[in-house]
Amino acid sequence: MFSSITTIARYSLLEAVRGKIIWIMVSLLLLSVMLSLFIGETTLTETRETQVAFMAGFLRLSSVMVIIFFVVSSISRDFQDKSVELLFSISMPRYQVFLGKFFGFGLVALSAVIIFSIGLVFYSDISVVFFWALSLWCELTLVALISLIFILSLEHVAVSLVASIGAYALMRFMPAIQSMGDGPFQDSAFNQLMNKVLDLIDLILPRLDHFAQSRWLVNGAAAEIDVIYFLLEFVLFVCLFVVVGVIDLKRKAI
Amino acid sequence: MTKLFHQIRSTHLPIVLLIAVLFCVVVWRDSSLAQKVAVENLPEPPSATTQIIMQASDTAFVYRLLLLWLQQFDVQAGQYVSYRNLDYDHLADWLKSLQMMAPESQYPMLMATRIYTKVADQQRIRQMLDFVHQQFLLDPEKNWRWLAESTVIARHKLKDLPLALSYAQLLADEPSEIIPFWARDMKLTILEDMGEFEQVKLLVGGLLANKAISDPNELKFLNSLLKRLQKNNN
Repeated sequence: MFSSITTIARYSLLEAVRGKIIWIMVSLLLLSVMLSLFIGETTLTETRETQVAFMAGFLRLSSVMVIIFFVVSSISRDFQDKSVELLFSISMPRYQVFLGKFFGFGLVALSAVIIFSIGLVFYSDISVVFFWALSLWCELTLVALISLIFILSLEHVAVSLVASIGAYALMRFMPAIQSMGDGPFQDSAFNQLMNKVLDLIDLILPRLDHFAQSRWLVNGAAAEIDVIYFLLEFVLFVCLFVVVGVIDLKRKAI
Repeated sequence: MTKLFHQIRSTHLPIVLLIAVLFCVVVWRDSSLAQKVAVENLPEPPSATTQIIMQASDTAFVYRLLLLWLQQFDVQAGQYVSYRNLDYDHLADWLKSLQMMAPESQYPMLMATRIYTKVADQQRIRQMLDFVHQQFLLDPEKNWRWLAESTVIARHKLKDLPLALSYAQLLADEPSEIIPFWARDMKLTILEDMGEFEQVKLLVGGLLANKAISDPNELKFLNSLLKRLQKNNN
């Protein structure tokens, strides 16, 4: 069981290396360093804090986008060259295929996070960078998992990209969306219904706004990072999404 | 001739078209940039709800972005906007909002004291000093040095000694030990400037007599001040 999962995971990582995803991550880091140097020239005080806030914000958002595009394009290519059908036709349970792909994308996310951390240790305390990187890895892995579910289920690149980015926006901006509905003049029945729907969605999606915050790197205080919270949230939602993904894949007619 | 024309047209037409379109784009961009030379007014800061939406998930990043945007607001479309043309009511509100977003940051205080007090308008300077004063009352330990700078600005730039004295009095009355003696003793020099020599002598004499001060530099300063006052009196 483990050998088939690790083989699929290894090939996903190999695809990322051959598809120059790792180089894209290195380029993002260099771009963020240049951005931070430029920003540093414009600040009057708190230069390091401003630089690290920009670097972390830029790296977080751009790496999420790269991971979504990579996962969707990778599985889409598998559909096109019939690799998915080949994998499903051999005597390997579908859940192993799913887990193999998921672990592979998790490794791609890990390599991205390691690359980013190398750049960030020059701007913040190493222990804080470690926790920030761990948190970003959790976020990227969750995003990769959701993108994997969408592309396996929907099969269309454009639709899956929109769905993945939309889901990420919901997970990241849920408090903002909820606060929009909490205004003093928004007490219509429809608005109340929408608020209930949003609360319900909030219950079944991870709160990514608590992950990989630039504030941690700016303040440099490792003690204020709630590691248990985001690790627990990560484990719970990985379990939920893996179950959802495997059930969906088992029902899929190829 | 026709053949040559056809040959040129078939081989070079895409490049000619590219140059023509590029020319149109450059002309269009140049004219649209020229239309944007009108100076924009500083808008009101975002409401509390909008701030929550803007900060969604990454407060530090949005805070720094807004800070730099505000700092660069006086440079628009390749021209410097005079601080006299900035709406200082909105500016003070912006600084307050930004400070609330990141209470640990010193950036808005620095902008208020060192950038926006460079305006040649006393009313606007007072607005900035008032902002610093309010922030000092909220967190004296963090903001005392900005109030000390405001005291200097009130004394030398505004030439408003009562205002400078009121700020210096706040510094002197602050129980926190973080505030150094030079900041606490600003009150004495301002009183001296105001010609209140007797009051200064009384205060310095009291400070030296109750032995509350142990710092040798502060003791040296107070002794020299007392000697100078006594010498002037004689």
